[in-house]
Amino acid sequence: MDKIELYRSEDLLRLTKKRKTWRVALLTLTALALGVCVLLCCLVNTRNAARMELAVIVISILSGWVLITLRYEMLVLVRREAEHTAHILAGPRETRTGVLSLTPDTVRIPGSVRVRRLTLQEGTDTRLLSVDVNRLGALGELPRRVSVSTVHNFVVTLEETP
Amino acid sequence: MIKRILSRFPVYLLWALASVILWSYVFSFITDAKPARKLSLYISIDQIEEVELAARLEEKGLPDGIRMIKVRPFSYAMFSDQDLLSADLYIVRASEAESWRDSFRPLPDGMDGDLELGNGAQGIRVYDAETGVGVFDDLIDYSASGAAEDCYLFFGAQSQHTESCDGAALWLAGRFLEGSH
Repeated sequence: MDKIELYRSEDLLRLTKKRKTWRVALLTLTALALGVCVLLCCLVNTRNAARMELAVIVISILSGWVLITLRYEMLVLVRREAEHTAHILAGPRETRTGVLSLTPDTVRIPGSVRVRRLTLQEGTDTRLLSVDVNRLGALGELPRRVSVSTVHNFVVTLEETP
Repeated sequence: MIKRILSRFPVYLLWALASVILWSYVFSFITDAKPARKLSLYISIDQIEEVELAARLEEKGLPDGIRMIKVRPFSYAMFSDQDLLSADLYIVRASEAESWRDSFRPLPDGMDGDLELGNGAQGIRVYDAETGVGVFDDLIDYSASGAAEDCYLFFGAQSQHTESCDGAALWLAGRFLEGSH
């Protein structure tokens, strides 16, 4: 079986690009919403002032809600993923061999990614490892005997061993 | 994802509140001006279409230095009477005129009054209860709340737009009286 690489520098490049794209998209949306509000302010006259005020407030609230949602559901998640990937790629690797199994536990590291806990049975020793939930699918079927390299207890590469 | 979005409910609520406060503040600047830059007309009748009346008075332009005309019912001053007391013009029912006389001043030269108060202030009749005809009576319900009575236009004693200043109060009175049938 081939060696499975869970963290590659191309991933980091892709995430950095995605992060920049989302940042530009959010800034554009913010500028657009603000521009519409300012335009409506410029069109205010005695007759339409009350309607314009209501329209500006509604546009401001709704666009703000959309922007808040996109920021937290897209930009922040991509940023955390990119920071996590960079952190793992820069860390010192350790290699271990044993039977790798999934646990049912999923936790969110504060200010970072959500991780799934794994155990690596090395003889009588059991080590608790982690994997980013977005990379869980790459692990293949578990439990099985593998040689894993880890960084800060995150599974980085996986290779089947006899 | 829905759960995560719902967990941010306080953020959405805070944003909504901030939007309302911010834009209300911005609009208070856009739709209001310092007394020196606006003309105000207070009417002692609640059933008025103040926005439409102000728009019609502004239709033919404004004097130099004036940004807007504000038309308000007396009830608008329930929280602060400063604006009311410094109004440029008033329209008051005949029965209420005496109680407000200290807020009025004599008419400018060349204008004739129909009602004279104890302090020399004079008012111009803008609604005749007998005929039921009034100035801008499509926007001011002169006969609202009780028996109809004559209504008079008075000039404000504390106006910043008297003839010795920019004379804009006289201009506004002229524009208002043009609205008569």
